[in-house]
Amino acid sequence: MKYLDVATLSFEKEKCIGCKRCLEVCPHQVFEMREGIELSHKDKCIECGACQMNCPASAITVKVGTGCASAVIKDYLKRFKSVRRFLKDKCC
Amino acid sequence: MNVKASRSDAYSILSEIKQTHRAVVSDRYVRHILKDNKVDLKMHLIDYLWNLGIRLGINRNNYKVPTGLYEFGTPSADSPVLVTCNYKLTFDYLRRYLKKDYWVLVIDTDGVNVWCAAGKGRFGTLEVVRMLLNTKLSVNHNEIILPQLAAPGVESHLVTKITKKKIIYGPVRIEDMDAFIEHGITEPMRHVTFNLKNRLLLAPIELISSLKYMGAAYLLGLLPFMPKETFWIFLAASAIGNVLHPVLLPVLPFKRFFLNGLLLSALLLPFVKADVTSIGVVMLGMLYTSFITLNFTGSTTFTSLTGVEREMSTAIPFMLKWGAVATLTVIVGILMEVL
Ligand code: SF4
Ligand code: SF4
Repeated sequence: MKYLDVATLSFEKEKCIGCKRCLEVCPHQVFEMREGIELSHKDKCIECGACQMNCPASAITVKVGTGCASAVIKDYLKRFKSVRRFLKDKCC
Repeated sequence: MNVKASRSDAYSILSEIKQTHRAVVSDRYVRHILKDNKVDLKMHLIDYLWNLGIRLGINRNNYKVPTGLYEFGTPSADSPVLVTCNYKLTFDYLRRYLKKDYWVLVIDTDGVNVWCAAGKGRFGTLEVVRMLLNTKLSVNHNEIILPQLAAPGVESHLVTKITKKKIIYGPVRIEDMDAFIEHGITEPMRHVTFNLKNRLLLAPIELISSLKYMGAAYLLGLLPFMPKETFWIFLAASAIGNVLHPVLLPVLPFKRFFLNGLLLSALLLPFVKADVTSIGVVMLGMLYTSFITLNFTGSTTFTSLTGVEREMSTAIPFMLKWGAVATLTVIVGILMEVL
């Protein structure tokens, strides 16, 4: 199953030192090892940020977040002070 | 919650550790399975009952295991060291599936599961470093195995820099851990999947939490000029959104969740009767289904924040208009009955 192909992921190949950590952490096999690391399946990226966090060379950037509509709505509502106290953080 | 885990440096980690005092967690839920730090791996009736309660949404915020090092089986100096969260449900997965001998280090994630805690930064570099520095491991190797799903919160190279431990990310599913230790990693162990069971896991809790709206729907149906079926329409809308949609997800035509919801909610159309009011109520029911399916984005394993924002930029204005038209239809219907 794939979602809308709009992920903010980007990869700077020049910085990569080939440690393969990104292959290890990505839950959707977005990276691939060919001649060096390649960003092969960007459309599968869920913006979890695992690769960015664990890349020792800072070769990967992604805008991290959770793909959850109710979290987006809650974050929006949190801007208003008066509703903030009614919002419970039930899940992630 | 969105965007919490962020990159840091060794200095800020170390200075923050000095300031953090973590709450003491009672051993209420694990007392019966502990002998010193040795864990009884056999699941007892009481474990199942508590777990069932959690699945149904009872006492969800307090289901924690005290932090520390636990013995699974009879670990020796060669045995692997695993790190996990302090959510009791996760701890029970380990109890059920780990058949070999392990040291298991439970860290404080506030009773939140690995994936969600990593996303918030609670299963993060700071907490992993803090627990590693505060725990005396009597092993003759230098490897620490973290769950792969903790990776969004942990900068492994930084943990290594501070603690001198080698960090290895284990498989996604704990069921694969024994095989991973024995034979190493295979491709499927790294994949996050989303099978029928995963998709339906949240259905009971969602259905139960929709019951409170059903009460409102029932009262609405008692009002004069409202269709008597109002309650059933909303109940069906909830079932379609919370059960049918997750089941059919892989074969639904649209990428946008709310459109799939709208499509499925066409099943409500037989509730339309000769009166205009029933059209309006069915439209409201369809809106409800569509909203439930939009919210299902948060339960899947393949949606991204940017994608959800993109979907919502069309879904929300559409839903507002739909809701306005539906409400107007109900009002017009009632007026037609009265006049
Ligand atoms: S983690 Fe970073 S440095 Fe290592 S292989 Fe991937 S991109 Fe290259
Ligand atoms: S953000 Fe997550 S899903 Fe996307 S490439 Fe990185 S590790 Fe993979």
